[in-house]
Amino acid sequence: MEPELAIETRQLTKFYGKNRGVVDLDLDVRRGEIYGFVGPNGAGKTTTVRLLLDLIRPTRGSATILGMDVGGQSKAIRARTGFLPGELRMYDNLTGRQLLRFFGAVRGVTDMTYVHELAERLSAELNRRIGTLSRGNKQKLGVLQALMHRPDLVLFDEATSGLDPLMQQELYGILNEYREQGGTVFFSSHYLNEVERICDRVGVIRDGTLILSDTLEALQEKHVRRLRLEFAEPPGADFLAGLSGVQKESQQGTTVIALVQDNLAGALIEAARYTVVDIEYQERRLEDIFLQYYDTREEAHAAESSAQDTA
Amino acid sequence: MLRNLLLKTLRDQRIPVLAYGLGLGALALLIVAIYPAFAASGAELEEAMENLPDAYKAFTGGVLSLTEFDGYLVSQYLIILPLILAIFAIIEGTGALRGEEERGTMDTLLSLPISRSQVVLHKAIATLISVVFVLIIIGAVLYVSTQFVEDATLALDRLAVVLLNTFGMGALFYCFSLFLSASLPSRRLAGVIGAVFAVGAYFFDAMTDIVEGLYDYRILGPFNYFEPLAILKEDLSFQNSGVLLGASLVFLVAGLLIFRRRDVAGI
Repeated sequence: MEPELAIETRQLTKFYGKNRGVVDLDLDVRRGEIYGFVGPNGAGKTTTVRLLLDLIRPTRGSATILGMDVGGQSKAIRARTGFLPGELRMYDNLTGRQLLRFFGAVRGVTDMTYVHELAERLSAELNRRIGTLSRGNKQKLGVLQALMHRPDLVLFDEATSGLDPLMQQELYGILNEYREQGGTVFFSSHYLNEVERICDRVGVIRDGTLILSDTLEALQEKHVRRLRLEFAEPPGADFLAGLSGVQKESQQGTTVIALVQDNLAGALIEAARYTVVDIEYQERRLEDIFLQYYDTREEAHAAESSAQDTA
Repeated sequence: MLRNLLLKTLRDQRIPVLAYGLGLGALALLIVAIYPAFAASGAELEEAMENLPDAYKAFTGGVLSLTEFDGYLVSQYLIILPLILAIFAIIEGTGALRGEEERGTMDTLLSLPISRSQVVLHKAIATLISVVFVLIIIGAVLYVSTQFVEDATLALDRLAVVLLNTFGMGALFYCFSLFLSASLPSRRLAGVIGAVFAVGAYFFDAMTDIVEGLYDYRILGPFNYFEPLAILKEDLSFQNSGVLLGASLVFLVAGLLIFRRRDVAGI
């Protein structure tokens, strides 16, 4: 029986000498989902992907892919996975077609129909030498080689860099179809809008540590959103006071800004007691959740450092 | 030609192999073609040889007579052949692992279902086949050209054993470079050390003939096991080639074990 988790890591840790790569990473990526792995540059995204591909070895901890141990069964794992790095380097002296023939031969792909279908959808250049291709066209070849053998799991590390918006849309479509057919995608990115667009669940990594991992809906539920109310007359100073799930951030004249956790209805009922001129309610965007979480953690981190300094 | 990494590596090397084979073949043809002029000098050349300093003789394969074809061919061509092959071997050896990592192609290659050991072995076997191709071209040119030059006789079996001995040197320089490529943090450093090793080994061997105290240490240098003159004039010994191939295997296995264990460098 196939394991439920496509990727499972436990306390996965990598140090490069004294430099931190990732620390105690516990990842659970379920089969058949697109898992967004987000974080700023240097957070540890690429280190994680390279650990999963057995390109680098962990300092401690374990990782399994499709139920197989990354260290001991990496060749079997790679037969069932595809990989696309952000800056794909391939053999410049080969044409795209020759590269795909080589990769296909090593992967045991005999029927190239699917590859040609994908190439057509992505308008990939197959007859020019790779060395003469633009970054975007190289990246298209990267997508083809990652998916050509219809793997069970693909690891994309900043995969859409270099692709124009139209091709990005096409790639999202291809990945959605791939997921519908049972494929799993580990999608590392720092472009939050694309993660929000295609991913089912999201993990956020910061300073090598996974700070949260959940479905997009759950993250959005937890997210505090800003409500701006404009009144005809200034409301009383006790406006919104004591209302659960809502916190008044500021009140200046006729303008009130509140942070709403989970009681928008309560806030609106309170507001309806006055003449409301305008309402603005912040959209639920992953970027805000991400920034909010980062800001909070930054403050906590600063406070912790300050306390340690004082002590 | 793109069915596996071995064939791909052979494909990648086809132009250097042709360039080396034809270039060294052309040089061999020239050397053989001008032999009659040397032979005609006869007694004068022998006298000049006797007056040459020992150091010069040491650097040209310990040849005592240039008027005999064997000695002429060794001193003018065969003795430097391993050094010329070393250039190809070092470029390919250092490029095989560290070069591929520095170009960033190793990550993509190792995302395929191919083990690190297979990467090392496919590349090593392909390059050693390339060296064989180069030597076959050289051997063919040497053998055929001597058929048309008076007094330039070369027995095919002896030529084959000399080329095997030369292959042993090429294999050693390649496997040592591959070992450096697996062990050192940059291709450039591996290349420099590989080149110093090859040139240093040549000088070391010559110096053991000149400097008295060094003679006992000559067995430490690879050129001690490269004896084209002895093969052409005396016995068809495979022992030296065996030593060189054995040492090559040690470096290959060591490089493979190191590469299997270490992190692959990213870009």
